[in-house]
Amino acid sequence: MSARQTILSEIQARNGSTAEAAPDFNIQIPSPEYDVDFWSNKTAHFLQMLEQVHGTWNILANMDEVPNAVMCYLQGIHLELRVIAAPDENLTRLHWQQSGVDATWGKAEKPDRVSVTMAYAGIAETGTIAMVSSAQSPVTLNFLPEVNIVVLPESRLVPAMEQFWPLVKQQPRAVNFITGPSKTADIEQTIVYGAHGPKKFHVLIIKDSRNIAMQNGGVNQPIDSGLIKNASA
Amino acid sequence: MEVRSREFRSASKTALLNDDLRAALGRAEGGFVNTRKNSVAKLKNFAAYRSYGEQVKDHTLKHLGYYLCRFERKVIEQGGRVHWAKNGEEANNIILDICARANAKKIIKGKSMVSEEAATNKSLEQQGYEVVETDLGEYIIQLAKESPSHIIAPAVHKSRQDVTELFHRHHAKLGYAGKVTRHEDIVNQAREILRDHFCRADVGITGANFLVADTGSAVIVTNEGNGDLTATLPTVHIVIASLEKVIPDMVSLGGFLRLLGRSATGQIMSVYTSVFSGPKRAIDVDGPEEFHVLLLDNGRSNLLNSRYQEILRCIRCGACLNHCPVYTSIGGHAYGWVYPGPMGSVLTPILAGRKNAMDLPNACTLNGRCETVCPVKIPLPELLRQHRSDLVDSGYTSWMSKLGLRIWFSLAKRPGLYRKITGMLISMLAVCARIKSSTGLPKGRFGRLPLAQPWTMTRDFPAPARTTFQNLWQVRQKSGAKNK
Repeated sequence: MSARQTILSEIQARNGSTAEAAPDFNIQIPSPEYDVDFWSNKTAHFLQMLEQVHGTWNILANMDEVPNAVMCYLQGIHLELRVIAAPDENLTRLHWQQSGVDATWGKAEKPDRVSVTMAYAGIAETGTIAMVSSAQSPVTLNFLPEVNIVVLPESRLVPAMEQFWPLVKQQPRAVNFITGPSKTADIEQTIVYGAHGPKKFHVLIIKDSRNIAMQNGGVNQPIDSGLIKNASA
Repeated sequence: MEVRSREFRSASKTALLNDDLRAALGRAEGGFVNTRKNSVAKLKNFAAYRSYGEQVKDHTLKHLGYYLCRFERKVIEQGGRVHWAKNGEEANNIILDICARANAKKIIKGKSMVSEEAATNKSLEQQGYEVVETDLGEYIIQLAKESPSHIIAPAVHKSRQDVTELFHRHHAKLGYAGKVTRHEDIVNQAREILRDHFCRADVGITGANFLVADTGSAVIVTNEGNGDLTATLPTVHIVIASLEKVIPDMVSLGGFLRLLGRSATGQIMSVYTSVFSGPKRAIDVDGPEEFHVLLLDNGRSNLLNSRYQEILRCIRCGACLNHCPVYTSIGGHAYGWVYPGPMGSVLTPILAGRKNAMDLPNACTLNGRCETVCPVKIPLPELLRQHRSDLVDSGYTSWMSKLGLRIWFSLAKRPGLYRKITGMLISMLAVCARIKSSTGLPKGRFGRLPLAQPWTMTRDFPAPARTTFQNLWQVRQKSGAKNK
């Protein structure tokens, strides 16, 4: 008998559950309750949570301002104006050279120091960025470089994780939830940023999200949080 | 991993005398306890999530056969493979086979307690593979040739000076001549060295915090990002996870994530929560070519519908360790196997054999803090008490304690006699305490007592009140009746 059969028959002998006996799973998840009402003020709450985990941010009027914002940010932390960026049309169509930023497109390799990516969504409750892997969104961009700059259209900000999953049409290879820069407290409980992932995590929030096409079959329309809240409850 | 829980008594004595260890544990305890408390307080209905977590885990365990098969089907649908292993040896053979077929030389690992159970590193190294742990804490203890002393902070027992010396010993030959002493520099040096390993490894092995049945996904929660690089850069990704890690769907994942970060490190959300489903897709430009999930039983299925089933709800947050007066005094190594603290004292006798771990369920004051902080409401003290009872039934207790218990048992069955004897003993002690005040000890304390040396060796025994509670109660009842 294979290990699989042995284990499954042991389980069946113990409590009668089998592959075929589909149970009714209807345990209701509670809705998170805080002192602040982050449902009606998602952006402010998102930024506050992001700051708490040592993330930084800028608010931009529209996508066209992204290259300049990247330039200013990199100059501020004294880094070369060279980035590896997600091959996402929303980013490739921008005028990077005008801002003096040398952008290449694709996945990250070991020497790449700065990455620029398009967020799939943001989660207000925890100040989290959700990345969904695809041709336009290589996973290595999120982890290998020292600095990760993420562009988040404000319309893609959802209240909580429960409102994020309905936006994902097909299960991708990887969904990465990122909440601030990489860190470790493995030495004497002292927090040090930049353990293996990025040392700096910077979010550019885009106010005007017209003309932003979303990948993975996602539609870019303002998300009616009230509607989704009711649907999930 | 070899079971050394039989040495618990001597190992805990040694640990108590180790001042460096006590200092390290003191630092950790304060940090973990306070940060947890603060972050839990902010989520006003945290209690509702605890009940939710408890119910979802109970539901999944009740239908474990269904959820495991559903998980398996979904992984296969996405181009991944699922392997089943009854024990550690089978698991290691499967891993060796995958590594051999991938022609691997270098293997990197994310933190996995289950692979510690199976002693996977040892089995890989014996076959000539180079295995590198990538979680900073795990990397440190791998260099030191030690085992984890905490399930989420494996090197919590090491001081910064320890790490400085350790890195100097191992990294000098890699061209790092000077000693690094600042926290940042230590982390940076590890980052540089491990970055090289990441980029050249052939196989990445990670654990999983959760397996999502609905989508065939393995969920890995880290703060460093090492798990994600391990799951992304090598051409083969192997997830090793025990059966009870499976949960129904993404909605339940959201519930567990609200519990896990807060209970483990006091974080609202850990830095990286990654959901991996299958190998690289046709459209992907990075990610592994092969995605394997290894489901390890190692004694779990035997616990279903047993008196110990509730321990299978455990999500390995480590809160019970951080709040345990025994763990925070002796650290993790004294427990002698993979899992220390309250959850370890419940699991070790079951998974590693009761007679190998007899002292663990007794190393508990039954203060109940662990149960209070457990995010999935595991009745840890109750399970430890159950172990004690089973230990007596299985005949592993000494004749002395058996005799003692028998005497107490026959007394307890006769309440009148019990009251008389205890009342006599207590008033005797109370009288003795007053006579003894000339011996130099503060009044009302005993420095030595017959039959209680282990207790009085390290502390004084307080003298009891002159009469028992039951006597007082009776007197009160009588006088109350008169007053009416």
